[in-house]
Amino acid sequence: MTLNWLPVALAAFGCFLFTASAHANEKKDIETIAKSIGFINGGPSGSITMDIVFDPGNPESVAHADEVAAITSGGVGSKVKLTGNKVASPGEATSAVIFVTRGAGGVYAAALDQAVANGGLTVSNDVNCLSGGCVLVVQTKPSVDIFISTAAAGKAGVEFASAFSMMITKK
Amino acid sequence: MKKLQFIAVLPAALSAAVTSAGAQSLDYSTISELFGEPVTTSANGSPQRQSEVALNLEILTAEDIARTGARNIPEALRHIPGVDVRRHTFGQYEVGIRGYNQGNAERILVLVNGRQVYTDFFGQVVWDGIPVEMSDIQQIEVVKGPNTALFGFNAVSGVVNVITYNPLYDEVRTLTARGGTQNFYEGSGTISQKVSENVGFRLSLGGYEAKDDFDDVEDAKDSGGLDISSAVEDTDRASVALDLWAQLADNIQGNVELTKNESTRNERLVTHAPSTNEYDTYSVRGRVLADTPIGLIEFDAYHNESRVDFEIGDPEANIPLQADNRITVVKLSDTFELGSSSIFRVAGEYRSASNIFTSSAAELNGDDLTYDIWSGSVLWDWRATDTIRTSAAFRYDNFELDPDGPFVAGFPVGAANPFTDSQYEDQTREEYSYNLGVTYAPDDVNTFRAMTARGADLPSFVEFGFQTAFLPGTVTSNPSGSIYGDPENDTSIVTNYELGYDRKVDAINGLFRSAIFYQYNDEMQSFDGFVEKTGGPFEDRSIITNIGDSEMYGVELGLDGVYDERWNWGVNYTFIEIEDDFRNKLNEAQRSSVAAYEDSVVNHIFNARLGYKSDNWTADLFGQYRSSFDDIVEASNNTNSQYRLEGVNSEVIVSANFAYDITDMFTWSVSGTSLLGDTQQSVEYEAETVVWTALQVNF
Repeated sequence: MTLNWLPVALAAFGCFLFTASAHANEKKDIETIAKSIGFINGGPSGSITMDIVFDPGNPESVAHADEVAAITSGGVGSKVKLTGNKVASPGEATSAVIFVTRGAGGVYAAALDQAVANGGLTVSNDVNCLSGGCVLVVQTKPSVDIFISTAAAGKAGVEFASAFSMMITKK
Repeated sequence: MKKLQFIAVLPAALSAAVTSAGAQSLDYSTISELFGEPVTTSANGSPQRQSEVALNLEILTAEDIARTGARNIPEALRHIPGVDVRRHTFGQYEVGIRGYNQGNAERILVLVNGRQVYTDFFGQVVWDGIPVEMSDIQQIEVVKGPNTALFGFNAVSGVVNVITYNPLYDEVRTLTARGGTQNFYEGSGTISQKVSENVGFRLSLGGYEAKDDFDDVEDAKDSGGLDISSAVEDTDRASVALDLWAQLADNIQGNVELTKNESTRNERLVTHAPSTNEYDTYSVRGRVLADTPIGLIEFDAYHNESRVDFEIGDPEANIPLQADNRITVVKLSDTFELGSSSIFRVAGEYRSASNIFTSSAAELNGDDLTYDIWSGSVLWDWRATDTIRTSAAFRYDNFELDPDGPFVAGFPVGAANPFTDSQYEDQTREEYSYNLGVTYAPDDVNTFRAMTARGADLPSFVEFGFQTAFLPGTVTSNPSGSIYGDPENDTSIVTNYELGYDRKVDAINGLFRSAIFYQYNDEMQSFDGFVEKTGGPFEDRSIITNIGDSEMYGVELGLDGVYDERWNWGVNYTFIEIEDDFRNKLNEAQRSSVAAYEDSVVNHIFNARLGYKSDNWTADLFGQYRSSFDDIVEASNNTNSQYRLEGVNSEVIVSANFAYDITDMFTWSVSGTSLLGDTQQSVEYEAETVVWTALQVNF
C-alpha cells in the first residue's frame, strides 16, 4: 500500500485546522469588540450594523473584510450585537461602529473622521490601527488585551465605564 | 432544628427610573468572560485581572467550588496553597493563612462583598455564621499576607472575600437538599434575578442540622480532664439574606442588604476549653455607587450585631456567658484614573464598635467597652510600562478606646484586678500600614512579583478589656482563676516580604505558580500571656497581653493543568516554618501562654487533585497530606504552666465529589470528606468521616 496521499491529507488537515483556528480567533475578537462597546457610557446597544472598511487595492484588507463579514453576517454578541457590512471607503460608512481591516492603513484617519461624524467609534483587531485612527483595538491571542487610543477616544467623545476603563490599556 | 425566628420582609418597590444599566458595580461574570480569567477588586480596590495583581491572590470560581462538592466555605478553601483548614467539630473550622492557625484564629479578615463577617469582639470567624449559601457564591478571593492598608485591622494573615451573585447581572434560581452521615440534613436556595429593567434582588435561605458523633469519650475530652461528651449538642444553622440592587440612574446604583443568621456548634475556645455556643447575628447595609466625572465613588454603610451565648466547660457547672457585639462602619471612597497609566483610590472610613460581656453567674462581671476608629487611605496603581505594574497602598488608623462604666467595682472580692479604671480611659493607638508591590510580565508566559507589606493587628475587645473569673472545676480542672484583657496592649505589627513567579506551561495547558516569603510579627498578643498566683478564691490571675515576637518563612509551589479539556489536575505544596521568641516560654514542654505557633504550625501540606468532566457528569478526587505537629492543650493543676504540648500525627485527608446532571434542571451528587477514616486535625477532637448526597434543582 502506498501512502502518497498521506502528506497531502495531513497538509490539508493542517490547513483546515489553521483556518478554523484563525477563524475562531477572529470571531472571538469580534465578540470581544461587541462586549467592549457595551461598556461605553451612553453607547449603542442592541443590534447594530458594523461597517467594515477595507482597501480594495490591498488583498490582505479585502480578505480580512470578507472574513469579518462572513463571521458577522448573522450577528455577533448579545447586549451589543454587531452585523457586518462591507464598505470600500470610509465615506460610505453610515454606522456608529466602523471596523477597520488589516492593510487599510491609508484610510485610518478618514475612518475615524467618519465615525466621529456618525457619532460613533472605530474598532479593529489590528494593533497597527491603534496609532492611526482606531479608538478600540482588541487582541485575544495569546491572551486578551484591550487597547484604547486616548487621542482617538477623545476625538470621538467616547468614554468607558470606570470599572472597565481601569482594566484596559490606554495608548 | 432551631427555627428561624425572623421573617425577611421584602421591601416595597424601589423607585427606579431610567435606561440601560451601567457598570458601577463590577459585573464579574461578563468581565471575567471578556478577559478569559477571573477578575477581582480585592487586590487593591480597583478592578484587576488575576494575572496582573501585585499580590499573592487565589480565586475560586463558582465552578471550582462546585467541583469540590464542599458544603461550606472552609472545605472549599482547603486545597489552596498556603491555607490551613482544621476541622474540629461538625460546625467548627479554623482557617489559617500561612501559619498561626491556633485557637479561634483571629488573623484573617473575612468579607462578604466587602462587609466584614468575623465576630468583632475577638476577631475570629464563625464560618457557619456567615449568611451565604454555597449557591450564592460567584467566587471566593483569597489574598495571602497582610493587607490592612486596604482593608483595615484583622487583615493580618490574609483576606477571604466572598463575592455573591449580583442580581443586576446574574440570573440564578436554585434549590439544594443535602443529607448524609452524622444525621446531617440541609436545605438551601438562592434566587438572583431582576424584577424589572433596573431592579433586582438576591434572596438566599438555608439551614442544616447535624450531630457530632464522636466515636468515644476520648474524642470529645479536653486534656484538662473535663469530659464534655454529655455536653455535645446538635449543630445547626439557619440563615437568610436579602440583597436588593437598583439602577437608580445611568451612572448610579443603589444596594440594600439585610441578613440574619443563627447557628449552634460544639467548639473549643481559644483557651481550648470545650464549649457549646450559640451565635445569633444580623446585619443591615446600604451602598451607593456612582460613576462620575471624578471617578467611581462608593458610599458604604453597614451595621452588624451579634449575640453569642457560651456554655463553657462542664455542662453541670458551666458558665453562662454572653457577648453582645455591635459594629457600625461608614466608608466613602473614590477610585479614579489619572492620565493613561495611573489609578488612584482615596478612601475614608469610620467605625464604631461596642461589646459587653454579661452573665447571670454571680462570679462574673459585665464589662462594656466601645471603640472608635477613623481611617484614611490612598492607593496608587501605576502601569509604569507595558511590562511593569506597581501598586502602593497606605493607610492611617486612629483608634480610641472608651469604657462605659467602672470595671473594678462589683468584681468578685479576691479577683484582684490588676488594672484600674483610668487605664481603660485615654487608650489611643495611631497606626499606619502599607502594601507595596510590583509585577513584571516580560511576555505572555512569565510573571514576576515582588511585594512588601506592613500590617497592624489591633488588640480585640477581649484582648483590651475582657474580665472574668471562674470557680473550681468549671472551665478547667485548675482550682479557680480570673482572666483580664490588658488595656495597654500594644498593636502587633506584621512585616511581610515576598517574591513570586508564575509561568504558563502550554505543554500541559497549565500554570506553574510559586512564592517565597518571610514575615516578622512584632509583639503578638495572647490569652494567658502572663499568669501569676495571687491567692484568694481566684488564685490564678491570667493576663491577655503582648508576649513577644515571631518569625515565619515559607514556600508555596503549585502546578495546574488541563488535558483534553475534560481532565483537570493540580498539585501544590506549602512549607511553613515559624520561630517564636516569646517571653513566657518556660521550656519546650511547658508554657503559660496559649500561643505556641512554632509548634502548632503544620510545616508541610501537600495537595493533589484530579477531575474529569463528561457531558453530563463530573468526578473529582482531592487528597491532602498534612505533616505532624504539636498542638497546645490545657495542663492539669499546674499553676505555673497552664498549657503543654501534645503531638498530632500526620494525616491524609481524602475528599471526593461526583455530580450527575439528570436533566438540565436536576443535578444529583454524592460527596465526602475524610474518606479514609476519621482524621486528627487538632488534639482534642477527631474530624469524622462525613458523606452526603445532594439534589439540586435549577429552575
